[in-house]
Parts: sequence; C-alpha cells; structure tokens
Amino acid sequence: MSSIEFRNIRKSFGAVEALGGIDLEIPDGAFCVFLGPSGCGKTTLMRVLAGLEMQTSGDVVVAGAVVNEATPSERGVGMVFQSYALYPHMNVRENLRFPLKMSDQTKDVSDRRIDEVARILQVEHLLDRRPSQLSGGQKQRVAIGRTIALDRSVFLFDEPLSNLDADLRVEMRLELQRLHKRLKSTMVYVTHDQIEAMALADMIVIMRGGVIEQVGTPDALYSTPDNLFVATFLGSPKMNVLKATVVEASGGSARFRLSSGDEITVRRDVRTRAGQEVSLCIRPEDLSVAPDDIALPLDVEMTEFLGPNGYAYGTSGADKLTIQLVRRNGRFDLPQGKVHASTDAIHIFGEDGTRLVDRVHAPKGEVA
Amino acid sequence: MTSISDVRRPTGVRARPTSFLFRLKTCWPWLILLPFLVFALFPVYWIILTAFRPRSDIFQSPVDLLPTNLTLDNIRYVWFGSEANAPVVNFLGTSLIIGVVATVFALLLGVTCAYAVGRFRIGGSFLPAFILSFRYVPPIALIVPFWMLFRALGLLDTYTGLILIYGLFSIPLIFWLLLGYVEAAPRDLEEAAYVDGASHWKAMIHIALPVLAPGIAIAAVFTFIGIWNEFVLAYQLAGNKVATITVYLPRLRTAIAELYGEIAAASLLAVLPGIFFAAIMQRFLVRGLAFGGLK
Repeated sequence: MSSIEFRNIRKSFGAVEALGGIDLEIPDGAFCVFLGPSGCGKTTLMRVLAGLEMQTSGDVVVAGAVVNEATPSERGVGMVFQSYALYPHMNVRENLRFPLKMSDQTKDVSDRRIDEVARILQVEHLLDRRPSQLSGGQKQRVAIGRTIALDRSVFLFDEPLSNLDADLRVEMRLELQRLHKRLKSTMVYVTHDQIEAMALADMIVIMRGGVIEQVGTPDALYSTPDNLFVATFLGSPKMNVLKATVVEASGGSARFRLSSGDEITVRRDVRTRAGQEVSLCIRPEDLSVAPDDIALPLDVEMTEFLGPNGYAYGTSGADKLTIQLVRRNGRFDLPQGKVHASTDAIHIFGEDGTRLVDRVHAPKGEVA
Repeated sequence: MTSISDVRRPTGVRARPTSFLFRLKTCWPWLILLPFLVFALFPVYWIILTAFRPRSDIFQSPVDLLPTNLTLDNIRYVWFGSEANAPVVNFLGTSLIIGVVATVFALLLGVTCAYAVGRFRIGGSFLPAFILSFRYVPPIALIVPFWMLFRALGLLDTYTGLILIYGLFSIPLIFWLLLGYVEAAPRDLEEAAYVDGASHWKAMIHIALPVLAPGIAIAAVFTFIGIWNEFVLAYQLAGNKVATITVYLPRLRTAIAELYGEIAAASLLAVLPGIFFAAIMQRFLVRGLAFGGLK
C-alpha cells in the first residue's frame, strides 16, 4: 500500500521560503494533481517527495514509513520529467534497460520486461532509435516506459504534457488515465494547466506561495471554492468578481450595493455585517438572460461565438462581467442590459478572500 | 519535343550569372584571406620542403621556392639515428607515453573535480578561482623549487616526475573547460538516473560523462598537445634518460653544424601524433552535436 503523507513540510532556498508548512495525505491509488501558478511550490513539493530535494523540516511518509533519509529509488518512487530526461547517448532499449540494470535484474528478466513495457506504450518499433530521432510524443512514451519498467508504487509526473502540441496532449491525457487504471498505483502529477488537472485528477491540491489553498475533488473545488484565489484560479473564462458593499445583513438575507450603484438582495445566511467590502462571485455559465433571483446590470462590449456556446464580455459598473451564452434553436440570446443568476450560484468572499456563505449542497465524492 | 533545358524559367528568376564581375563579387572574401593564408601556411610548406632537401640546397642563393632535387636523407638520418643521437622514434615514444599518461591522469582528476564543483558546489565559490590561480604563475618561475623537490623525491629525469608535473599543470585548464560544460548540461538527466536507482557515482559514469564527452574530448586534445609541445620543464626536470621530442629537436643544432634539414624532418614527424590524436577526438566532437534527449 502506498499512501503518501506530508507532515509540516518546509523548504527554504536561502532566504526564500518555497514551501511554508505543507500537511497533506494522499490515499493509496489516488490520482493527485498539484495545481497552481508558476512559482507556487508544486514542483518543489514533488521533488521533496521524490527525494531529489531535501526538505528543511518536516517528514515525508510513503507507505507508512518515514523516508526523509531514503534515496529516490529506495522510496519506490518513479518520476517522469518535464524535459523527459531521456539519456541521449542510449537508444530506446538501453534507456528502458537502465533502471532494470541499476536494480541488478538479470538480462533475461530485463529483456522480457522491456518487451512488455514497449508493448504497453506502443514503442516496440522504436527500440533501436536514439532519443534525438523521436518525436515529442514518442519521447514522452519512452520516458513513461522507463519509469514503469520497474515495479513502483508511486509515480510522479512533472508537467509531462507541457511540451506537446494540443492534440497530442489530449491523447496522452487519456493514455495516462488508462495507465492509472492498469497500474493502480498512486500517481502525483504537477501542472499549471487547470484543464489537465480537472480531466485527470480524483484529487486536486491547489497551491499558492508555498502553501496549500484547498484540497478536494475537481467537482468540489469548482463548485465550492474555499477562497477567492481558488474561485478565480479554476474555470475558464474566469469566475466573475463583483466588488460590493454590504448595506444590511441579517439572518437569512443580505443586501449589497454594487459598483454600478444597483442594490441586490441575496437570500442566504451571509457571515458579514453592514459596511463590509465583499466580493460577489458568479461563474459565467451561472449567469443567464432569463429572469432569476438576482439581476445584475451588464453593458456588453464584445461577444464571441464558439459553436455550441459563446461568451459576452462587458462591464457591470466598475467590474468586468462575462456571461456564457447558450445556443437555443440555432441562435444565441443576447443579454439586454441585465443578466440574472440564482441565489445558489453566488459565492461571497470577504476582504481577506475567505468564504462567507456556506455551501448549498456538499458535492459528491469529497476527498478532504 | 520539349527537353528539360527548353522549359522556361519562371519569370523573375534569372539564370545564375557566371560573368567575371559576378565571380569577383563572390570571391572577394577569399582575396582578402589569401595573404593571411600564405602567411600562415608558408612556414609549413618551407619545413616540408627543407625536410626533403639536400643540405646544399637549403642554403642556396637565390632561394628556390619550388620542390626540386628532393631526397630522403634527412628523414633517414633522424629515423635511424646516428652516433650522436638515438633514432627519433625513441623520443617520439617517450613524448607519447608521457603525453598520454599525463593527459589521462589530468583528465581523471580534472573532470571529476569539475563535476563535483559544477554539480554539488563543493568548495563553495572560492575553489574555482583558487584552482585557476595555479596558472597565474608561469611554470618557469617555479622551476627551481620544483627541481629541488624532484631531486629530494628522486623524480629527476623520470617518467613519473614529468607525468606528475604535466598532469598537475593541466588540471586547471581541464577543470575550467569542463566546468562550463557541466553547468550547461541538464541536471534532469542525472536526477532521472537517481530515480532509476543509480548512485551519484553510477549516474556520473553512465549518464554525465557520456553527455560531457565532447567537452572531455576538447580538454583531452588541448591537454595532450600542450604537453607534447612543452619544452622548459622537459629540459630542466628531465632530458637525459627521459628525453621528449622537444628536447631532441635542439640537440640537432650541434657545435659543428646546425642540421636544418634533419630538424625539419624531425619536426615533421613530431607534429604527426598531434594531428592523429585530434582526428580521433573529432569523432566525439561531432557526436556531441547529434545529442538531443531532452524535449
């Protein structure tokens, strides 16, 4: 069993603190994605897990054992690098053989394993080629192959798809999912691409500035972000953020003044008081042209039609507002001065970014 | 019938001009380079010519620039030796042994040192400059202390002595040449090797060194040629029982006569191993360009 646990991991590079106290448990067999903007510490955290970087303090636990002092291979961890890191002076077969050779496998066993791995990743016809003779996707397969050549309980992927073109990325994404099903190992995956994270993960860890902002299933993070950062980081186009002032807050209802001067009432229990500055957040797809609980003013500046749906971009007072347009009977309904949202779809965050309304319904399959 | 030559060129594409004016335009870089080329290559030509000329022709006046009246006497003299001097092969052999062993010795220390400093910052920021400081002092300035040291250790006029001192003087060069290569080489490859179960040592041997091969080849060529051409140390710290080719050449300027033809013949033989060695290393240099396991 290979669950992973980080206990208060800190890592500093000189005066710079890259990780500021990470506590995290990844259950056995999970597909866990570290997601965050560049420089958030996600790669550092993975390198600490791999044993390529020594944490300044804290414990790394793999399969119940503290592995702080263990070498990468002793941890039973395999890793695919962003650059693929294929050994340029060896052909594909020798690349695949290297980890087997390092673990003192006999030639017979190695040969059999190499054939097997090559079959799984469909690189049998490339075995005699040098890495420089491979395409990006082929290099990627070989890099994964070299990692799975040894039986390992944890696989790490450091932005493995970022060097591939868009089509290939989608293809490899599916392949990784297939691989995860087949191997049933714990996988940890680092990316800054939220689409990749949403598609692959059964557990996403969102990081910023060396700390974890939120942990949960893709659905949980998307539907009930804990704070303003997570809310605006996930989703494309971004969640709308409207600055508002609380006019009045009482049990079960709150009234806000928007930057446009309009006032709206939200019939929810909001942990706030009159005079507080808050952010009202609504996803573009939760806005509609049909009347609903809340009405917001919108001056449309631009529209985009993308086939099944489209977007209208504009302003609502001093704030930007984007609405997703839905095609109905072959045409798009354009907003006329006002857009609408249901009370349930609204997220409210305080000045410090914390959530002020409880989730309406807990999403299914919550991990954390 | 239409033949290929009948097919008209697309309008706007002119036939390749072959006029005198066009040729003049394209060959002007060569015209500029020509005097430099003559300046650089003439001495080589003259040495080759001298090596194959009889003694009487070497001093003839007016000078004859063309190869006429050639002979193998000079080559024969240095090849088979005389009462005064052993055959040239002996000295070439000594140079070769010292050059190869000292180069290998210096590479072993220099490459591992560059790797340790480049990858693991051993010795902090001070060490690289400290290693370079060995070269601040010209070897000749140290010759007296070295001579005394060598005498005390019984290293005067020995292979071991010359190999040691050449090796030590070559390490800074190799270190600094390789340091750049180590720092430029992707760290990912060795980290991948660690993850694959390799120790630091195995990752260096199996992964880092092959990747650094072009740099190592360049360092090896420079080191070997430097040692091959060295005279002062070879003359002062050895030169009797252990005599290199550079010590042999001036011996041909005897009290009776300056054997110019023989010197030229021996010089010609002396440059051959260097050329041969560089040609072998060429393979590694070219192979380095074909690498590309990343991205």
